[in-house]
Amino acid sequence: MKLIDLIYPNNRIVSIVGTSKNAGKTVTLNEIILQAGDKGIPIALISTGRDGERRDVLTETEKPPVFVHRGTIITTVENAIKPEYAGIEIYSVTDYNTPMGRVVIGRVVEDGYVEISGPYSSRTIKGMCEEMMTFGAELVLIDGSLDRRASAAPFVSDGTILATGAALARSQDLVIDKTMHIINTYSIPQVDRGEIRDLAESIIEEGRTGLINEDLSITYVDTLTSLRSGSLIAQALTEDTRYVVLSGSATVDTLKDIVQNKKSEITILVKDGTRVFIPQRELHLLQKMGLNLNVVDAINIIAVTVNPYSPEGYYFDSAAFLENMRKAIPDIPVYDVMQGGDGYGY
Amino acid sequence: MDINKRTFKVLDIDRVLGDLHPITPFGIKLKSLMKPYNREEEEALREELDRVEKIRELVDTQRAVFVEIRTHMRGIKDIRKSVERCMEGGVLNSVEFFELKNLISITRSISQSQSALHWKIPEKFKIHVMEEVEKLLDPENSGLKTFYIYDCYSEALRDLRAERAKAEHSLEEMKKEKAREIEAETGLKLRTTGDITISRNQTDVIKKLMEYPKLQVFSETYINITFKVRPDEPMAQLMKEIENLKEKEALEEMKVLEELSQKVASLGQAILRNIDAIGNFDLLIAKAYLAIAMNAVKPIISKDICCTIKMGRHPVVEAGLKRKGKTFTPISVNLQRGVAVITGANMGGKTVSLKLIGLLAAMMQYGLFVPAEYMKASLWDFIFISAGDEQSLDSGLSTFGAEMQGIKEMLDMSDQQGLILIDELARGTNPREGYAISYGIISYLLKKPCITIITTHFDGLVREGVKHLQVKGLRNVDYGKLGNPDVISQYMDYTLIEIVGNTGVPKDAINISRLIGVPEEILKEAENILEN
Repeated sequence: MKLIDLIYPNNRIVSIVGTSKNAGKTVTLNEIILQAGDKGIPIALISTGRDGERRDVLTETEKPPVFVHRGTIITTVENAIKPEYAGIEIYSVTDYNTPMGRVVIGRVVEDGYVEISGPYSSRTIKGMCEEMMTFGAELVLIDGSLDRRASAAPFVSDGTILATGAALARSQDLVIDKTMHIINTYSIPQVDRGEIRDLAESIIEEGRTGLINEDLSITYVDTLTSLRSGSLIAQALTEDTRYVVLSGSATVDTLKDIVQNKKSEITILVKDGTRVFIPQRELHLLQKMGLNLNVVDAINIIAVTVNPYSPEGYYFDSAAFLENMRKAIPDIPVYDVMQGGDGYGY
Repeated sequence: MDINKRTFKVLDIDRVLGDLHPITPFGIKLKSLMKPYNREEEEALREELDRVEKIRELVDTQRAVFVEIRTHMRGIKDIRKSVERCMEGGVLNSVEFFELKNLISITRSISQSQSALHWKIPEKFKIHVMEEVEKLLDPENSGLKTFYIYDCYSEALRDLRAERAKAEHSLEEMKKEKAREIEAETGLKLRTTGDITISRNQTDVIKKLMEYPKLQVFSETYINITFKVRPDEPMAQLMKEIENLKEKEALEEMKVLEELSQKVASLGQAILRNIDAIGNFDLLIAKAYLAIAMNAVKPIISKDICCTIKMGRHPVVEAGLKRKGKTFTPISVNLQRGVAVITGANMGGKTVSLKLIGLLAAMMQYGLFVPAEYMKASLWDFIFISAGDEQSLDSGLSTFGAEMQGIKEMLDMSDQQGLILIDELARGTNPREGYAISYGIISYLLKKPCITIITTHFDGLVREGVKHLQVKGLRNVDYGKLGNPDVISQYMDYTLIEIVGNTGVPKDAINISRLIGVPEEILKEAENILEN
């Protein structure tokens, strides 16, 4: 089964996220574009993270233009529409400004290279993905920028392809370990009670911190951010507390404060796995201390791609690396996109 | 008309204009340039007020059309700079043409909605369909809102693109043919991109392919090598030709953009005219909506110097009270050329009355409807308010000094027709001198073509030829029932009544002090002094 068959038609908006720089995200993206092209699926491309920050602009400019087929819907910026690139029929000029001009949505009228770009915030990305679908795209691919894993959030995309590779760590075991940790945080189970999901959703929507009690009443805790708010939440815990809903990110300090001060069996809820920033070791420790962490929206990891090369000069044996990764995450299909034509045996 | 910055601010004109909401960038720009009509522009103002009235009527009877128009207007972006640049000989890019096309398309929609209105639209507000520009930007008459440098813009472009497409197709066919050949000869399967990646472990395959003339190394990594179809002579020739065609195409596209820009430039005036009309129409609708929101009426312009307001409401104060669940007590005045003095209780809303008169007069002259049941007033060369509490620290002047500086500037203008509003004239100095100066100023202003309204606590400023108004205040109220000073404002009757003859000093100050709980001993003595 090819990667594209896992992706389409079950998912319509798919993000491609790298575990680190040079993890093979671009190769993965190109491979998916190619496979979609072979199948004649009308696709759209958008990328995240051109937010006007110097750092991002610098990394963006290093990014090579992408080869796309005629008919592809793309998001780009005003100043990247150049005669040397493929012709673009402009469909929409958005109000979203970047240092390279406004973000523009268009259709590629001839095969060729284009620069893919896009907005920074999840909400805006989501809106543009939907707009591109109204222009005829059947599958939208989000090229998640470095450190912008937020595009994997289920709010934005139906599913995520995780690109990982040798660039993440020196040894194969370490790469597999770190990748598994990311997959584990992304796979934190969804809270199963529907009414709790709805309550948590509304608390997060308001950007607040709230405790859901036994009788489903909500006690709000006045915290500006949940980053350093652990002790405030700890004070508010009672024997009736059943769930603690955090609007922002779940950090070690906050979780520790809550777990140590719980007066009853409680579950901590965050929006989704992209909000969890806890190193592996600490997570294990917290779980031993009795941490129950659930998410409101689960992330759907469609597949993992591996890249055995690191630009720093070392590499893993590709067959063994692929094999070991598959063993480590038996529930998720793993592909080696660097292998070319024959590497998809499933 | 002259309204100095301070008066503009004290009268809350900016707050009222802040409630005026045009939608398009052109309307918003126009609003930022809004100035009050001058007295000489009476006819133009009359027409504007009539138009606001007409639109307000139409909003009542054809609301759906306005909802439609405003929805169209929300899509408008400011492309004036592009049009102007184009008219100065600049070349627009594809994005700019897209935006122009978008505007022209919205223009058609608004124009169609506009023609559904039961209104004989004055040219200044009429939005025209621009068929010539439409044809220019939609040469294939597809009706789409997108933009691309279409083939039909230039025969050369069409030919170049066709030629390139043909060449690319042949190249593709040749590649496929070559790939089939290679697959047959080597027994390997190439990817659709015409490449194949071999692991370095397969040394024999690599060795074979290295010597195989139809493939070449494309990229190498530590553990594998990617080979690509090696183009033969005719393919290389074709690739070169394609590159060549691309270059020519890019040049031709630039030429097309240049020509298109020139054509747009020749229609530039018409586009700018339409932009102006959209702005004018947008602002006019905003004025009508404001009139509806404020429950305002069309003011009547009077030739004679006068200012009559029936049941006037101060929109800003009213909105503030409404938020607290209270209502504004409307104020009525009937003033002619000359001086009027308002006396009455503290906390009696004298200042609000003064500001209301000034604000409504200014709104009228801005071409806005006024929140009242009726208003008839003359137009002014200037409106001036002195609120008495501005201390000019910069110039080192005291309250009194700053007040007199303002008054002096006003007096310099007072040979023109003016509306002069002074709150507690000369209160910042000693009462004897303050009274004397006030007396003098009133005598001076009595001779001017102005309406002057002064609030004061000084007794004796009222005399022959000076109108005397008084806030009803706490009259007819049973003080025993009041109890809590916080409720004073609820029992305060803000109505202005005209006083004929001398009524003596009102005792509201003492009554209010008593309510607040000032010792009775003091108040008794004060009453004694007043009686003697």
